[in-house]
Amino acid sequence: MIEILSTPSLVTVQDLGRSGFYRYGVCRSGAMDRLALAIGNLLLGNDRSAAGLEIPILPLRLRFDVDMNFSLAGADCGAMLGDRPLPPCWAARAKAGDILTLNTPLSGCRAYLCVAGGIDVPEVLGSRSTQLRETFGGIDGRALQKGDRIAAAGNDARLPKDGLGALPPAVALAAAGDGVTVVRVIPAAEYGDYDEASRAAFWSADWKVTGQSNRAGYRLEGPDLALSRMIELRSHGVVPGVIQVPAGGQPIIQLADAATMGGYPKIGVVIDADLWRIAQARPGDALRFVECDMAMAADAHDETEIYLAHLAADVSRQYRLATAWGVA
Amino acid sequence: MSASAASLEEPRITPLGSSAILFEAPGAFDIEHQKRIWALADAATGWDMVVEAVPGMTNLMLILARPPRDLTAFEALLRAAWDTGDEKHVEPTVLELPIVYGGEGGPHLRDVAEGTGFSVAEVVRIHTEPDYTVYAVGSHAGYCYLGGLDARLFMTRRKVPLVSIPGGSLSLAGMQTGVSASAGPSGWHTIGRAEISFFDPERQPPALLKPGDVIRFKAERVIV
Amino acid sequence: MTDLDDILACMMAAGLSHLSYSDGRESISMRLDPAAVVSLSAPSAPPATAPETISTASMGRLIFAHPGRPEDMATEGLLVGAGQAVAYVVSGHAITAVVAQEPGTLGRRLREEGDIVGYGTPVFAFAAHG
Repeated sequence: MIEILSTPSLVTVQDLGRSGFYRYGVCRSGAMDRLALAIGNLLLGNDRSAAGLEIPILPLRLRFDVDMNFSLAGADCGAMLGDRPLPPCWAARAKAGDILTLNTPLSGCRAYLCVAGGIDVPEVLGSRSTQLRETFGGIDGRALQKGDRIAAAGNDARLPKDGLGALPPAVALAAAGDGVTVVRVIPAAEYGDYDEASRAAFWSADWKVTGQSNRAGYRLEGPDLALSRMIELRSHGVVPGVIQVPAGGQPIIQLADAATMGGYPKIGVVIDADLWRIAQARPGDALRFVECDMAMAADAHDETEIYLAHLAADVSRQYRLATAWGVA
Repeated sequence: MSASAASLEEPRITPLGSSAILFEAPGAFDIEHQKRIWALADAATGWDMVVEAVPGMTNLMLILARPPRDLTAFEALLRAAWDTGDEKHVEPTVLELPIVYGGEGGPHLRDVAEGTGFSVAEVVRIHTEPDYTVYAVGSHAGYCYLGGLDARLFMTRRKVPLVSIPGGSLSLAGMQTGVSASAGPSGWHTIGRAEISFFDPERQPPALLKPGDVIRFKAERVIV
Repeated sequence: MTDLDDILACMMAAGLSHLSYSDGRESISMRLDPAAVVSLSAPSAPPATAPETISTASMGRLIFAHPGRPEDMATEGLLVGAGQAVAYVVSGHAITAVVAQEPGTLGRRLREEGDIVGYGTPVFAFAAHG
C-alpha cells in the first residue's frame, strides 16, 4: 500500500488508455506522457501498459506502508526516498515506512509513479485509466485525495538492490529545439482553407502554452489563424493530437481527455510519437510545429518502439545479471 | 476544396495525424448517406490494422493500430467499399424522451426563439414534431448526434461556449441537436433538460442508444 | 547473449581471469579485464569490497553524471549517505548506480569517465564514517 500524505492536485490513475470505445463516446484517456509510463513500467518488469499514477502538479509526498519496488519517470522531480536522492527515470526498492518526496521539477511537467505489478484497481471498459468527465475508472473515477491508499498488484521481478534506471527519452529521442518544444504535425483536411499568412505563421511561430491547458487540451497563444473562407464542418471523429482552431483563431491541441467528436476546423494533427513532448510542456513554455508526412510519422513511431524494445531487453539483462551476482 | 455546409462532390480521404484516417462522404447530410457510413464502418472494422471505425455525421474515422507509411491501401479499400452503395438497415429502438423546455435547464430557449423568429411555444412544437434518428454516438460517453432537426431551427454555434452544462441537457447548433449524457462545456444552444442515463460503463453495450435508433421528444413542461 | 552473461558471471564469481573451451573443431576463449576479477568466498555472495573504496555492482561503461542531470557530479570531498549514487554504469539503455553502501566521504576517482568496468570495480576512494 502507498498512502498519499500531502494534498495532491489532479493526480489520477492512468494506464495507456481505453481503446475500442470511441463509438460510444468514450475517449482514450490514459497517460498524457505514454512514453514515460511505459518506461516506468518496463523498469519494474511490468507490461508497459500497467496502471500508474500521473502526477501533473508537484510537490507531492507519500509513504510506502509495505516493502515495494517502484519507479519514477517523466519530469525529473528531484525525488527523495527518505533522505536519499533518487536519479531521474529510476526504479528503486522502498521499505515499509519510507517516505517519497517529489519536488517541483526544473523542467518538464508531469511525473509518473509506477509500482511492481501496476496499481491494483478494477478495469472498466478494458482499462484502469480514470475517466474524469464520466467519473469511472481508476479510483472511483476521480483524482486522488490526501489519505487515499493505493495498492500494487505486485510481481516477481527482483530489482537490482541499488536500483535501475533508463536512458531518458529526452536524451535518447532528442528533438531539435533551443528551449522550445518542437513537435511534428501532419496537415489536416482543412489545412488548405487557411490563408497563406496563417499557414506560414502556424509553422514559424513560437506558440505559447497558456494556463488554460489540461488533460482535455492545450490552448495556445500566438498569431491569429484565419480561414480564407467560412466553413461549417459536420461533426467528425477526433483523436489526441488534433489541432482545432475555433472562431477566435487561437489553436487548441486536443489531448487525452478530449471529446471524441468535434466540428471545429482543424489545421493539423500532432503525430502520436510526439504527444509525450506536449505533455511535458508547461504553461508559459513555447511549442513549435514542424511539418511531417505519414512516412516520417511511421519512422518516428518505429524509433520510439526501438527505444522501448532496447530498454526492455537491457532491463531484463540487468535483472538476470543482478540475480546471478546476488545483488537483486 | 474543403467540406462546408455545401457538399463534397466525391469522397475525401485525409490523414488524421499518424494513427487515424478521416473519410468524408460526398452528398447531402441525410439519412441515406448516413446509412452508407454505418455500412462502411462495419466493413472497415474487419480490415487489417483498423482498431476501430467511428461514424461521424456523414463521415467515418478509422483509428489504426500503428502509423501507415501512406494512405494508398486504405484509400483503395475505402473507395471500393463506399462504391458498393451498401446501406446498413437498423431495426430501431424508439425512445420517448420527456423534456422540460426552457427555465434553468434551457437557458437559451429564448435566444433560439429570437434567432429563428418563432415564439417559444412554436420552437417547442417544431422541435418535438419529428422522429430523430441517432446518426452517431460520440463527443462524450453516450451522447447521441441526432438527425432530423427542422431546418427552421438552424442556429450557428454560440460565440462564447458555456463552461459547463449538466448531463441531460438538450441543445442544438447548426443542423444538429442532441442531449448530453454528462456535465461538460458546450458551444451549442441549450433549450431543455431530460432525466435519463445515456451511459453506464457496467452495461453491455455501455451506451443506451446506437446509430439507427430513434428519439421522440415530448414536451413535459415549457417554462417561458 | 544470455549464455555469455552466465559464463561471465561464473568467471567473476569464481575469480577466474581466463576461460577456454574447445570441442576439437571449434574453440572459444574469454579473458576478463583485471579490474573485473574479484576473489569471493562463495559464488553467490556479493564481492568483498575493500572498505576504502566504492565499487560497481554491474558492468558496462562508467559515467560520473547521470545523462538527465549532466551538471550533477559527485566529487572528492563530498559527504554521501548510505544508498547514494556517486556514479553510474551504462549498459545499452539501462543505467545502474555505483552506490555508497554506508555514509562517508568520497575520495579521489579511481577510474576515468567512459571506462569499461566490470562487476566489483573500485570507482572512488572512500572514507566511511564509523
